[in-house]
Amino acid sequence: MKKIAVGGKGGSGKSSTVALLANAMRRRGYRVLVVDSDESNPALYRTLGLGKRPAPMLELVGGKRHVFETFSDDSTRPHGLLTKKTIRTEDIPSDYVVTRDGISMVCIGKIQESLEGCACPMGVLTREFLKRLSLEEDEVALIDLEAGIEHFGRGVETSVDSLLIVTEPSLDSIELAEKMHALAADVQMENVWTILNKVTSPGLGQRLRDDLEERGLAVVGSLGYDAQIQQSGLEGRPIESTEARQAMARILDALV
Amino acid sequence: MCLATVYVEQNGQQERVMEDVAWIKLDSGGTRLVTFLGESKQFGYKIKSVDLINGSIILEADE
Repeated sequence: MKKIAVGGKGGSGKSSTVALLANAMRRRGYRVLVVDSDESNPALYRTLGLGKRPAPMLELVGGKRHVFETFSDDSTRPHGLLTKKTIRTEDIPSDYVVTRDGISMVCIGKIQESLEGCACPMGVLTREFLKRLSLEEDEVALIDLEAGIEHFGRGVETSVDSLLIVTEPSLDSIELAEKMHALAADVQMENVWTILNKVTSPGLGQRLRDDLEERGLAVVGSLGYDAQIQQSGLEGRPIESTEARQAMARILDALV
Repeated sequence: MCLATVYVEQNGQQERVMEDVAWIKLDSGGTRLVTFLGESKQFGYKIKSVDLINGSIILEADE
């Protein structure tokens, strides 16, 4: 359990889960590298309490728009970091990583303009960076995936060992979790877990758990609906909910 | 995916030779392929077909 991807339906709470889990793992003594591979949502760094977003790693290959210019002469320009067979956290150039209190974050890239083309290069960069990423014994990587399942098509899951699916109380979210579970099996993922989020009552939690377990998913814990998390998201600041922190500590107990 | 996987076709068989190809240049020596991360290979073959939906390109030797 070194490289954990966090996925699920849009709005299910992936980024909040990543932030809570990063802090829970940090409290257990891990150094945590958060990989923001979501091409759209801009604010994970704020949820993590980081002062700024790191420069996108896409720049290391010339940027999406300029990748062709990069290769348009007869020689291939070396890309330093991304031509290495293994990448350690400390190899990442300082502009491309932001660290605070043992939690670091890198950002793959964001969609910037209308009609700029598809996001496939970002998926490939995520996959290849994670494939090369070499973590020390006390390090873990948490990957905030884009919503939905397109990252499976780009092979991102072939470069991680664990998948944590965040499921909210909706049939769409449940069915998507089931689909992700099946897709993860296709790539022989070592660990696939599901957590429930936005659960408003024990009865609802039990109903979700029963439904997901009937579909073959392993439910490892539950986060309640939490107005403090919503407020933190609205104000762009870290989650300070004691209840959520305690719930994530219990989830981490189940994971390790 | 829009980055291509490239195959070489010989004697009716296809062999996968490169993945994540982002840039292709044709010249008198054949076809040069460069991946998104900068790996480059030159093949003495021409392009037989390009399938943009499935992201696959087939090269074949000149007759």
